[in-house]
Amino acid sequence: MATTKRIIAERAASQFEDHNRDIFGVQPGELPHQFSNLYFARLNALRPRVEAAAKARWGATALENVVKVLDAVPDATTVAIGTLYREMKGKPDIMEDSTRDVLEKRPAESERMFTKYCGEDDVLLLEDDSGRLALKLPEALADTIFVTGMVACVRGKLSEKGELVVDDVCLPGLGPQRPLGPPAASGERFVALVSGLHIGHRTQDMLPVQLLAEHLTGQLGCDEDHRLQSNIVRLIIAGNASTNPALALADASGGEWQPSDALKRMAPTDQKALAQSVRTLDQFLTAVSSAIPVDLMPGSDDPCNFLLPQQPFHTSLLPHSSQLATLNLCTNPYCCDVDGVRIVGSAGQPLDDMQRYVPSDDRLATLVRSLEFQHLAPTAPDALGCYPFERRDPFVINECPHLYFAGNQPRFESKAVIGPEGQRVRVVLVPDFAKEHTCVLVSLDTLECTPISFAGLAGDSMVM
Amino acid sequence: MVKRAMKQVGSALHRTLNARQFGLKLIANVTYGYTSASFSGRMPNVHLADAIVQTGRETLQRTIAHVNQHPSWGARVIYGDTDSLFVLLEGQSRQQAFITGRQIAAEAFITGRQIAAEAFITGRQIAAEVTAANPHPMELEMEKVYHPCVLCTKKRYMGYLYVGYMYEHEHASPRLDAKGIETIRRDGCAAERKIVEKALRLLFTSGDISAVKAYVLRQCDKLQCGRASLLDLVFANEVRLGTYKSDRVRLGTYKSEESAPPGAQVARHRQQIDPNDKAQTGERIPFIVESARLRDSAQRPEVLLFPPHGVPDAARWQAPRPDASYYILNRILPALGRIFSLIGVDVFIWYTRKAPMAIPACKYKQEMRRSRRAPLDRALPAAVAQRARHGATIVGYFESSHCILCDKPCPALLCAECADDRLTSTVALTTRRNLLEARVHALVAHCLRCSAARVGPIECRNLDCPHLYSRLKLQRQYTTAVDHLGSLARRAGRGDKGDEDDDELAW
Repeated sequence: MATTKRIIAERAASQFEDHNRDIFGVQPGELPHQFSNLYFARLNALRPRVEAAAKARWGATALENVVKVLDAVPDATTVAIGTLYREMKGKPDIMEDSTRDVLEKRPAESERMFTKYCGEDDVLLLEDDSGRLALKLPEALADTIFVTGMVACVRGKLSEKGELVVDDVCLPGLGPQRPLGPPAASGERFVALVSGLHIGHRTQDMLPVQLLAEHLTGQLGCDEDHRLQSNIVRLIIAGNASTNPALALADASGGEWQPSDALKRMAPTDQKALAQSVRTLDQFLTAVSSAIPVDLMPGSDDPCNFLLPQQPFHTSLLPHSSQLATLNLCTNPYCCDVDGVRIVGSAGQPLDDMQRYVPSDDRLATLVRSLEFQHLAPTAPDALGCYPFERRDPFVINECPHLYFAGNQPRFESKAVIGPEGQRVRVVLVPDFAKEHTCVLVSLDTLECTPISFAGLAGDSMVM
Repeated sequence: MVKRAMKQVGSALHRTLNARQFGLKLIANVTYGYTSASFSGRMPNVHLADAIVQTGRETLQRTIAHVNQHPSWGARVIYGDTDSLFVLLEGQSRQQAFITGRQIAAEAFITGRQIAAEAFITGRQIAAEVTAANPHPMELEMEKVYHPCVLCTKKRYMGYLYVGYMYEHEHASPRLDAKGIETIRRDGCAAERKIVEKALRLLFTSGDISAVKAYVLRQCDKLQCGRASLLDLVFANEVRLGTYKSDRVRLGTYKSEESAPPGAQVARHRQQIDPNDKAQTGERIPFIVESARLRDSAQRPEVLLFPPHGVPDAARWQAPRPDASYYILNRILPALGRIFSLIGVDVFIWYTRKAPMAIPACKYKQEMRRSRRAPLDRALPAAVAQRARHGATIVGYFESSHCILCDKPCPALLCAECADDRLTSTVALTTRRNLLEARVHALVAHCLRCSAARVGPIECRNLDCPHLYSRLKLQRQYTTAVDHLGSLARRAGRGDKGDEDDDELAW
């Protein structure tokens, strides 16, 4: 009997710097709930960057007469800097789907993701600390993505009607980026991105999840595969690793049980059922993170808080895996450096929300655009729930990332963006694993991106 | 005739004709009134008055006899009042009954209201025949079909109403029509009205008493847990200061203000706080019955909503609770009882599991069902202690001592079993907090927009807005939920020293 020579592939090491808690950590406390401070902080943070970008675009003299929007006079060229606001008829009064039935009446998960607020007769407004001004966009900019909350510099003429007839809009653009380090001698290294595992949901097919775990831990495939697998230095789980327990229970009960019942009282059996899905996640994470460093971000369906930035899973929820030093419980959004590669991303809520403001279905374009806004979640706090920060806006992207992702998207898409100053950014839509059975590998050296699919194995067609 | 003409004309003429028919009616009524007022009246003519009454009576009796004896209708008159008849048409469809009703109505100057298991056709026939049998101006109008219907007492009845155009549509949805009962009276609170109405609808649509029972008990539970909106518990009674006995004896030496109705007490109290806030005569003063000493149990809604000035930690302020037992035992159950006793159901037994007569009134409260505790109403011990310092009543000391997760009796927030199963209890509490956070956020965003305030805390005090009540309640519940999680984390932190990150759970 021939013995096969086994290669022991050792996992490549990487340097890791975690910025999550510095940027997105929130101190416990009450919610003062005023959002004007957040807009103010955002405008203050982004104004110099917009000014710089506008100078570069329109020439140094262009910004000599920047006015507040209330001081704009008709028929003179006006340049103003402020926050855009898109007034949409289609935007539901938040009360209609909230009040006491906030969760009962909301449309099904799948529909919710694709609801649009925007319509034909939307009005774009520019708001600064003095007032608001309606903008009339030229034909050339009609299809451009503008969402509420982005900071922009606008040039145009005030018409008789009091509208600013715009001839150009300038965004902050891509920020400064640190150069990438030299490629590691040990070979090309990768980070793996996955989202929407939905472990514990009754409809989740556990086979692809299991294959994913075995792939990442190096139990699957031939030596060649092992070599590749050993070069995956980190797994980032971009949200929705578990299921929202209340939603899951409501789903399983066939309408008998409403998510809001969790507020009243849960029978001990229900509580156990809720905990079971989290326990399964714990087991999965224990298995995976014993072989590879894992960053776990919370998502909209995870048992964490609701408002952005979502705070990390609590260790009580993951009693076994959280004992491992390799499991890093992160916030959502996420910001880390892996071997000098700046990775920034979210579990997808900001992109889903921005998508409601734009008519097109090109999610990748919207995500790239938000990079040019230098803002992770411009639509917070307008339609997206967010913590009312008072002094700073943590969602401002201060340094241009190398890898920018959004989790829980309908399908995998990716694009390399090259900035004017030579910035290279890999923008990735990480698909929902439960539906697409796909995880994404991104090279830390070349920023190339490869999807790995675990699909086509489910059910009867499974051959093993 | 005037009324018939009204149906055919537009709005302007309609108003004129309406005024005319109302005038004619008044003249007829007043003529009768004058003639029959024999002692104090100015134009007494007892004979004429008696004749009017007797004619009406005879007509009604004749009609009743006619309807009851008619061979083909199968109708039975079950209630008649002066000018109307309720005819029971057992075993007929609604369409059939409508026509029978018309036939009957063709015979008398009487409005043919009828109750029918099935009704329209027979109704029309009855109306038509009765009208024909009476001298010219008299007419019996086939008005409506009730299916099903409950007749409580004189002038108090309710049912699912079908009017003319509805009978043609097989699945036309009926309207709940109620006369003289709690659903439309203004002297109760909204909870009373809503529960009676919903119970009736349930009874009418399902005919299942156990469904009604389950519904009523669920609502009582909601009240006792404090999950009901305070807006539903607000009474608004008319107040006429200066007309009460206690007003007159105020200057005397005995009788304090307690003898005035609760609305008046609240109005006086408001005036003490702000002398300009004087109740107009006939103004409706909102108040809630709080579980406190009997003397000042009627309170302004604000007392239960906003923390008083000078409370150190306003977010954790423990609001006084409405008196659930008053609302249930004195308001909702009696109102339901008046209806359901007719079909032999004793609603008090649902609730107390004892007949009301078997226990003296003072024992009612002790006989209240123990509701499942409201998990989000359970403050941390520190907050309770603080409440005790800030002028709490004795009620404040009777804190629930049940586990916030499994409702087992235990002195701490969590029973030992729940506290040991940290994973399960954290998931449950986190889920609660997540749901609350979403709701609070949505409500606050709405209230901010509504009050056009982008800065500062929301100062809205519109007592008629349901969002105000839910927002304040949810905000408090949210704070409690955060505290619960925090206390669980602290407990866990004491349990195993290795955990450093526990403080974060407080978020």
